[in-house]
Amino acid sequence: MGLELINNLMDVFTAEDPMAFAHPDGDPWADFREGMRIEWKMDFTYKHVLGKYSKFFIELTNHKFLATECPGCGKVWAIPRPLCADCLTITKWKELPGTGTLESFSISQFVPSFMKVEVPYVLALVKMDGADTLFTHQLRNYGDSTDVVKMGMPVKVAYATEPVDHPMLLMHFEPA
Amino acid sequence: MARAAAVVGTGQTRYANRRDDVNIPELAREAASRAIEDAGIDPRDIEAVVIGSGPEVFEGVNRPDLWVGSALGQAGRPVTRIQTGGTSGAGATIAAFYHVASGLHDVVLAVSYEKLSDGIPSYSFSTLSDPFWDRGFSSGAAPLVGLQSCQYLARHAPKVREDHGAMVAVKNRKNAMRNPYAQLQMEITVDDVMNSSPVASPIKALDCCPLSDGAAALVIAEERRAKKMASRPAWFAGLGACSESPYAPNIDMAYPESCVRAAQLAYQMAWIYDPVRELDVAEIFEAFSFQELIWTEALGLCNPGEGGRMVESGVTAMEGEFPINPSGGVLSANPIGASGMIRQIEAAMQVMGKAGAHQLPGVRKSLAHSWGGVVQFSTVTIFAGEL
Ligand SMILES: [Zn+2]
Repeated sequence: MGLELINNLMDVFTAEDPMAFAHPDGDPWADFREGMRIEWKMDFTYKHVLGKYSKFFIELTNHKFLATECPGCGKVWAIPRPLCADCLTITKWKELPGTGTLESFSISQFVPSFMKVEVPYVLALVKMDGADTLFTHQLRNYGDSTDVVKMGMPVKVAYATEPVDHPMLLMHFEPA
Repeated sequence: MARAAAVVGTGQTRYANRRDDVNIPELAREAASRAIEDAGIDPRDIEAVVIGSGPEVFEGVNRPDLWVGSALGQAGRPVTRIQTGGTSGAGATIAAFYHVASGLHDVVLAVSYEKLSDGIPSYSFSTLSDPFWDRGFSSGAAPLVGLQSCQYLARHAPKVREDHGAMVAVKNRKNAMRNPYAQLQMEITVDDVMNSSPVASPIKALDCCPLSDGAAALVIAEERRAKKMASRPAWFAGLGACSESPYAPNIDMAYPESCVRAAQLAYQMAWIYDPVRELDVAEIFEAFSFQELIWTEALGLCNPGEGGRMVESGVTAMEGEFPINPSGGVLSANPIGASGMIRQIEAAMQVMGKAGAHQLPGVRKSLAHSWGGVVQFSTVTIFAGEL
């Protein structure tokens, strides 16, 4: 028996002096260069209350795209904000047409392995019609080539038809 | 009225993709001992400690302040931890300055670190996004900064071009060759950057910072002690730390207000009217190459849309009229929670005349910048060689 007693041991190694150039007289930590690495898996589940935003996601299931309008200064927020960030007035829900134009985009050729999305993955920053703010989401169904994705391109909200793992995935953008 | 305070000693570790020879507190202690030694003091002269590091989820260690504090030989002293993403390290320095400027403590140590190789950056980055609005489709920092860069390029085309980003990547990696602590020291060309593999358009592999393990530390002292400890201390002349909307789409990422405001506050405090004339050098937090152009404009070092010209004409080169990132910047090492402090250390070293092979001649005033969160935290610190 020996190291195999440690179930979560990953490796045992000899570490190098990363500052050897600064130690002409020898490694001051020469006695401490045996190294080992362990693996520690953590699996947690969090429960998030969506709070005053909840109605936005509930209405997505009804294929409605909601923003909030400030009765104080008139600003329309999408992402909806229950409290106007500019004048701190409580806002009101307002339905928008769900159309807009591409303000910026980024095309990723690879994504982290846990993301269940197709690549190229297009992240879009959209100026929503009827809102004073921008909205970010994925742009899908752009066809065979990302060459069609251009600044100022008209886009629209499309709604999920299959079950999703996060309420935000009830929607995405598509070319209008 | 705030008391005068200065950086009197600095310490950094060698930045690397993995530091297998140390655990987290050992990494932090390496930087802290160098800073204490550089200040020429005893660890027992330190009265309080401020620690800066990124989100706990990066390393999976909770309450790292308690673990690290005692490892620095500072058990029993007051310890505070700052966590504001990329600005954590700069925030720790600013908090340590408050400790001294307030008159509560005379000598304070600020330490920051990150050991990204202990965690799973691609997973942990995705959890940094808002759990309601962004996390469902979040894929890390590069696509977000891709949006920012694309918006910036579109706004200022054709004055700013994609190859201007590449010029920043070439300049900073070359500067890093003179910095013994840098992780990426490379002689590359604009073509190398433009032809490197696409990551998140317009960002390509060589436009990105590396993932790093590393720590940084500095000692701050009040006026009387500072003058004894250092022949040329780096005095805090101006500070600005600002935040704005938690939602990236609500921010003008191509000209972020938090950065503009932080710079204005810092210039006001330092009595600076014409920053590019009155400052001699800047260390800017460019995690991705295009950000150096964006921040240069937001910091008022040139007009909006002039960022490309600044790098193309050589103004921001090591031998230019206004060098930016002579250390190699964040493109050459990014231990996230420490990177903001590293900018301050590099800016302070330029004023102290201790920047070694990348020292610029005759630096009187320097600027350090950092950004964090989803581009909604910004800090600006100005150091001066004279009180
Ligand atoms: Zn309002």
